[in-house]
Formats: sequence, structure tokens, C-alpha cells
Amino acid sequence: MKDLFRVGKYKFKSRLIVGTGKYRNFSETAKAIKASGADMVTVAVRRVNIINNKEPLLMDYINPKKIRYLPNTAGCFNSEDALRVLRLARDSGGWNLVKLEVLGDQETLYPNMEETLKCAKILVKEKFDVMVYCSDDPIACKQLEEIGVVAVMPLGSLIGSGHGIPNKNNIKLIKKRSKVPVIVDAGIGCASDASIAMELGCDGVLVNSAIAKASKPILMAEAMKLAVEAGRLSYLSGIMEKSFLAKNSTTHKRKIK
Amino acid sequence: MHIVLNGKKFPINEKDTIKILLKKIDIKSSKVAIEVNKVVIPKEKYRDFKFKKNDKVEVVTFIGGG
Repeated sequence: MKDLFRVGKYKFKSRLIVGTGKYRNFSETAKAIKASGADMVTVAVRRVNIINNKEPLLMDYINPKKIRYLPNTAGCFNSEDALRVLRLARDSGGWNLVKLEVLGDQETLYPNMEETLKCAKILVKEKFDVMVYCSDDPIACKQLEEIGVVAVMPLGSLIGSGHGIPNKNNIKLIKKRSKVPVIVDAGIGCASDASIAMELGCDGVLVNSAIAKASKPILMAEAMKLAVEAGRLSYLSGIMEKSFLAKNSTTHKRKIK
Repeated sequence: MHIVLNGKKFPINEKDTIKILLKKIDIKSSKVAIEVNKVVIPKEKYRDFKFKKNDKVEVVTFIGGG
């Protein structure tokens, strides 16, 4: 079954987006990405190490011609910093599809939605295709959609927390009302969390810590791939209605007496 | 004269272009993006762009991130 993942004008085979942070080294990052089957990975923008320019670069391990880089604004706490980062990212390799995240504070890394909305408006005006990390707030997601972003990325729970999706109703509500893809970003802790996101009807899942911080990241990357696929198929197959009481699976007809 | 390169004072000649700077620090232009005084300098200008005293220059690349 052909079930492409469409974000704006872009098409992807995998509905799993993988973050490239927190791995032990770039070789492990590359192997995990391969095992995950992801064809889009998030990357951050940082200063080049001038003193030790022999330090390995991410680009030496993950070929941006084969896997789409999704530059993010990790660590930005205001719209001005986020804009600077994404303008640089676009110039670096022509990456127009970007992930905006403007954080509220260091302890929660919760999005600052006022700054996020402000920055999203400018980026859309500058013809970026913007995917946005946001709170699991249906109103904020609607506001982002109206601004013209190409995807909303509500958090399942706090970044790097591994708490999964405690507020499933909000994610479901956001998906129900959204005309742009909904991607659960942040909080995924294990493979079943990713399946749940997909079963709620989400279009995709973004996972970083759950893979990178597993004892065996490459194995977890494969688990995430299967979980996203299983969750998607489960959603598309039309999940049965829940019942308060038991319903027997075997007929009573011709039972011995 | 000096510029401020990635937050640190860096000696440079008046005639040096971005292209020459990248050669000095031995980094390929395809792997970086450059901002001077908070304005992105497009790659096609690397050959001609010359610095002024105390320019704040950021040379960035991609690293792992979520």
C-alpha cells in the first residue's frame, strides 16, 4: 500500500522523523538512522570549531543528498535568535523546510507560543516551509495553521522526558481539527508511545532521546520504525469500538450440553 | 586588524575575503553558513566580501540535534 507522508510540497516514505542529538558518536547516529528507515532527520546549527577544525562533522556521516536535513532552532528562547539560525540554515544548503522551536525556559523546554507565533509569521512571509514545535493546545495549533505553517508538532510530553503522551485527548482533538499534518514531537519514550501517536491519527512522529538514550540505540531505532508502521496500519484499519463489558469471541451455537 | 570570529578575536588582513578566511581556518564553504553582523552572507559573495574592523562574524555548520 502506498501511503506517502506529505508535508507541504515534500513527500517522504517514512512517517518517522529522527533527531540526531545525544548519540555516542556520529557513526552510531548514522547506523541508527539507517535502522529507523527515516528519510528526514533534524539537525541543529552551531558555531564551527575554529581551534580544532579536524573535529568530525555530521555531514561527513549523514549525506544530506540522501536524507533530508530538517534544520531546527534548538536552544533558541526568542524569535530573533530562531530567525537568525534558520536564515543561516537556509543559506548553508538551501534547506527551506525547517523546524521552528522557540523555548520558554530551560527547566521545561516548553514552547513559548507567543514568540513561536511571532516567528512563524515572519518565516512564512520569507517563504520558508515551517514545521512548528508547539504546545498540545488545539487553539495554538489552529493559529499556526492560519499563519500558513506546513505542519504542527505538538509535544507528547516534555522534551527528553520519555513520558509518552499523557494527554491523548488533546492530540486527538488537534488532529481532528487540523488541515495540516500533525506530528507528535517530544516525549516519546518507547516504541509503544510511537504506535499510540500514530493510532491517535497523527501523520508522523519525531523521536530523538528514546532512540539515542536506549541502551542499544540501533535496536530501538528499528523498534521505532516498526512501531510507527504498526500504529499507522492500526489507525488506517479502523480500530474497533471499546465496550464496558465483555463480548465473547466464540459463538455459543452448537455448544455441547 | 581584528574581527570577532565565533566570539573570539581573530587577526585578519584588510584585503582578506570570506573565501580567504575559510582557507585560513581550513573549512570547506559547502559545509558552512556565514553571518556578518547578524546578516547572512550568501555563498556567491564569499569571493568578494571583505571585512571591516571588529566585524562580528559567525561561521556555523550542522551538528546533531533533536
